[in-house]
Amino acid sequence: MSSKSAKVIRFAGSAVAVEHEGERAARIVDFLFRHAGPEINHDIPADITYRLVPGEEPDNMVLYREEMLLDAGTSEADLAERLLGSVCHDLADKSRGGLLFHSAALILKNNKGLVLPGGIAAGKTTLAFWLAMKGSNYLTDEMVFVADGADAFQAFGRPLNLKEPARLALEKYFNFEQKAGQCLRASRSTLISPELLGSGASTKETPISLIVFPGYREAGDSDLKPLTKAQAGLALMECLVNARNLPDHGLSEILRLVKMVPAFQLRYSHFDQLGKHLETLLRILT
Amino acid sequence: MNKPRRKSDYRLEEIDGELLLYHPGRTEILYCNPTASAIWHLCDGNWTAEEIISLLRSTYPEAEETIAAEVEEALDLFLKHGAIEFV
Repeated sequence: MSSKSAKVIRFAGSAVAVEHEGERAARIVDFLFRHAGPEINHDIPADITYRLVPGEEPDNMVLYREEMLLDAGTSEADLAERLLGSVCHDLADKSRGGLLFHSAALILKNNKGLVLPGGIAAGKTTLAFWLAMKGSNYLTDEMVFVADGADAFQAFGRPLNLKEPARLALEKYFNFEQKAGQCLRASRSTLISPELLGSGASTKETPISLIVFPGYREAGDSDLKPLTKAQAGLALMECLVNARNLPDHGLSEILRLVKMVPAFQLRYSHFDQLGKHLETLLRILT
Repeated sequence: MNKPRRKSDYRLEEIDGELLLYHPGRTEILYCNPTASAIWHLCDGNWTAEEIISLLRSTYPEAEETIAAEVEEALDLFLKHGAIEFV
């Protein structure tokens, strides 16, 4: 007999449902979304429904988005990565009621909330991972929401999605083989449980103390540069994923944010360069 | 037709001497450092580019060597984004 269940994932004024059938599907959904809520916005109905169900072939699973076949296969990790990416995309697409940034977030050792906004390949996931290895509490590597008028952020708690080249660079900080039971290794990346990266992620609100825009580059010196409020505003606009759903594309709220929170740009090419900058940031925040 | 003039469909946000120019109809925002902000304010249809350069040189003599390039760059940026027109 196969068990059927559903989880509604609510975040940033948006919701999707994931129906699942069987133990393997339940395990995937729990691994991906057990940190994602539903602590906030529990009255929002789901806009989109996913289904992760056993396929006809042995060990096969099939993933649907509404009635459309999204993926199928035997690899739990690949299906998990696909489901996670697609759910995040849908949550962002319908997000309203505040600013939704493409951003990582952590709570630093001194309990200050740090957000790391950045586009693809900016280095926010690897920097978040490194900071977690140095004692910070990982919250998210993908989405941060600041509700209208708020001075705190909500993080979309999810497994950290480390791309394969970054995994190689981080092996000296983390024993992936030993922790394999709490990771899912997909073809192109590894999903790492938040439990391994701090005391556990939360969607509860965290005061925003600092904004750092990571800028990974392949070679060169590192630098940590304070940004003016206008520079920070521009950079945040570039990381805003729900602008089209907001009045004045979110500009007024972004200006409110940059007047409230200091912002820096951190360029780096190697993790060994980061220790001194972390110390500087912690000093700024004390 | 050689005097730059700001178009009225940009919203201006001034923060600590710098500007963000936001176009409500597009998802587009321009950042202006203090020099570009000064240039923007001078784009009122009364000054040619040469006159703007001359005015800024007399105001910021320490930056005399770079002013011409900065004015050219800023006007190019404004024009490229449709933020100014020449009258």
